[in-house]
Amino acid sequence: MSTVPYAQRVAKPNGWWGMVVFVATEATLFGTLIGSYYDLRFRTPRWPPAGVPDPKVAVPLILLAVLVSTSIPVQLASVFARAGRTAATRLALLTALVLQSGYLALQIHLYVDDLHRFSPQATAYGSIYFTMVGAHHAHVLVGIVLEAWLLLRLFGGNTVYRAVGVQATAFFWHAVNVLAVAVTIVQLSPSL
Amino acid sequence: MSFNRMPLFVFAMLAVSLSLIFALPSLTTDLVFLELQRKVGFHFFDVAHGGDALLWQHLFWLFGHPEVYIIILPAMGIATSIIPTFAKRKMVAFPLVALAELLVAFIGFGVWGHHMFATGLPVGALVFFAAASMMVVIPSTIQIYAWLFTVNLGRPEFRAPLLFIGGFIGLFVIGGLSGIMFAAVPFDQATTDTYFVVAHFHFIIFGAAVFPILGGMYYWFPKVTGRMYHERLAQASFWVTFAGTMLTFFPMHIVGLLGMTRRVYTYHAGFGWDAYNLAETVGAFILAFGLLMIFGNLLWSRFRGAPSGPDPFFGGTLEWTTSSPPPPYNFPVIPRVSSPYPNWDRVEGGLQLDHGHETPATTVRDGHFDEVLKMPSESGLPIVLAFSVTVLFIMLLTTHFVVAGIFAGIAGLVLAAWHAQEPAEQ
Ligand code: HEM
Ligand SMILES: [Cu+2]
Repeated sequence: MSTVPYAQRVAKPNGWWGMVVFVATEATLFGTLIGSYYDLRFRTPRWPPAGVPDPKVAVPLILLAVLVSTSIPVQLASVFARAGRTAATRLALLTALVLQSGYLALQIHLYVDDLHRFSPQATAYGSIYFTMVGAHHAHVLVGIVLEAWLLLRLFGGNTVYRAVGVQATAFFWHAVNVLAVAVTIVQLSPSL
Repeated sequence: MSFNRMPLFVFAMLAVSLSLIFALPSLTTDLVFLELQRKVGFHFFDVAHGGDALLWQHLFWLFGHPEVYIIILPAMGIATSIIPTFAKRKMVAFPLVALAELLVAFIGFGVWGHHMFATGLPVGALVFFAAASMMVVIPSTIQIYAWLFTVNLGRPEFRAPLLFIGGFIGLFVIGGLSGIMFAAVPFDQATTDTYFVVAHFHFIIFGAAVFPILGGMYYWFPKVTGRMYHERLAQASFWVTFAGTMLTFFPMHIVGLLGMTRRVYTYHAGFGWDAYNLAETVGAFILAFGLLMIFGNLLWSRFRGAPSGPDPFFGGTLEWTTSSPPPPYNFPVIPRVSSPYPNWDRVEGGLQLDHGHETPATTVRDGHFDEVLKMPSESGLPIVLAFSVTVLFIMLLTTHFVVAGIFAGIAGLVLAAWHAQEPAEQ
C-alpha cells in the first residue's frame, strides 16, 4: 500500500470541521434530552414511579467502561491513517469495531429486557428513559456504520481523503463516548 | 480571509450559523417527543402520566427565541452592507458592530422564558429572563447608533436601498421598544396574547427583517442581472410600502391595549376596535400595492433596465470588483484582500485555479493560503437523497412505517453511492 503524505495543510481538514459541527448539534440534542429528563424528574415525588424498578447499575457501568476504552484504538487508527500505515489502521479499526459491536449487542439485549419490565407507554419516566437511552444507542450504531464503511474502503488502500474520514470518525467516537458517560450517569441516577 | 478582513455581513451570517447549530436540536427533540406522544403513545407533555405540559414550551422557545435572531441577523448584515455604500464611508465602530452581532446571537439563548411569563414560572426564573431580555437591548442599540452615525458622518445619497434601510431602522426601533416593554413581567402578563404582541412581531419581522431584504433586492439587482432598476419608481415604492406597513401594523398596538386577543378571525361590534381594524385592512392593501410596485419594477428592469456596469454604486465589498452578472467562476484570479472594503482599498491578484472545480482553503484564523480543494462536480445524488428523506419523514408522520423503511433504505444506498465517489489524488 502506498504511504500517504498526509495533508500539507496547516489547518484541520474540512472533513474534520464538518464532523465538529455535526457533533455540536448532537451534543446539544443530548443536552435537551437530559434537560427534559430532569424537568420531568423534579415534578414527581417518586422517581422511578410506583411499579417501575430502579435501574440496574453494575452491567451498564461495565459496558460503559468497555465503550469508553474504544477511544484508544479509534485514536490509534486516526494516527496510523495519517502516517500512511494502512495495515495498522485497519487492525485498530477492526479492534474498535468488534468491541463496539459487542457493546451495542449487549445494550440492545438490556434495552429489550427493560421493555419487558416496564413500558415507555405507561409513564413519563419510561418515555424519557427509553427515548434518551435509545437515542444514544442510535448514535453508537451510526459510529459503527461509519467505521465499517471506512474499513471497507481501506481494503482498497489508503488515501488522504480516507485518512480524513478516519480522523473525523475518530472525533465522532470520542464525542459519542463522552455522551455515553453523561447519558449513563443520568440513566442510573435514581439508583446512585 | 482572516477575521479582521471579514465584512460585517459575513459576521452576521457567522452568528446566524452558530445560532442554528445550537437552536435547532431543541426543536428536533420537541418534535420527536410530540410524535412519540401522538403516534406511539409515549408521555412527555400530559400531566396525568407524569408529563409536563410546559416542557413543550421550554423546548420550543429555547429554539424559538434564537430563531427570531436567526431571522433578523441577515437583515442587520444587509444593513451593514448598504449603509457604507450610500453613506460613502466605512461603518463606524466596525469591531463593536461585529461583536454586537455575535453577542445578540449569544444572549438570545438565555431569554426564552420571556415567552412564558404568564405560565406560572417561579419568580427567580421570571427575574432572570426579564433581566436577560433587557440586556439584549445593549448590542441592538450599539448597532442602531453605529448605523445612524455612519449615515450622519458620511455623505449619504438616499437612493432606494438606503431608503429601505432607513425604514428598517425606524421600524426596528418601534418593534424593539415594544419588545423591551414585554421584558417587564407585569406589562407582559397584561398584554400577552393580545394584538400588542402581534404588533411587536410584525414590526420586527416584517419591518425589520423584510425591509432590508427588499432594499437588498434593489441593491444587488444590478450585480445579479447586469441591469439597473428604475430609481424613481423604486423610491416611490419605498414610500408606499412604508406607509402601508405603518398603517397595517401600528393600530395593532392600540387594539391590543384595548383588549383584542390574538388568533381571532372575527369579533362583536362595539368594543371600539372596528375603526382600527378597518384602517389595518386599508393598510394591508396599500402594502400589497407597494410590494407589487417593487416586484413590477424588478421584473420590468430585468428585461428593459439600462445596463449597470460592474459597479454602479461604487460599493466597498468584493462582489463589486467582478463583472455584473458575475461569471460562473466569480473571479478569474483569486483576489487577495487587505480589508473588509477591498474595492475602496486594494485588491491584488493572487492564485489562479484553472483545473476544473477548485477553490483555495486557508488557515482558520489568519487566512493564509493552505490548500487547493477539489470541489465536487454536478451530481444527481444530493437531490435524490433530499427527496427520499422527505418522503421518509412524510411516511413516518402518516404512520406508513413500511414505506418509510423502504425510503430509509433508498436514502442509505444513495449516501453510499455518494461517498463512493472519491476525489482523484495524484
Ligand atoms: C429588543 C429585543 C426583543 C425583546 C426584548 C423581545 C421580547 C419579546 C417578548 C417578551 C415576547 C413575548 C410576548 C408575549 O407573548 O407575551 C416577544 C414575542 C415575539 N417576538 Fe420579540 N423581542 C425582541 C426582539 C424580537 C426580534 C428581533 C424578533 C424577530 C425578528 C422578535 C419576534 C417575536 C415574535 C415572533 C414574537 C411572538 C411569539 C409568539 O407567537 O408568541 N422579537 N418578544
Ligand atoms: Cu423572544
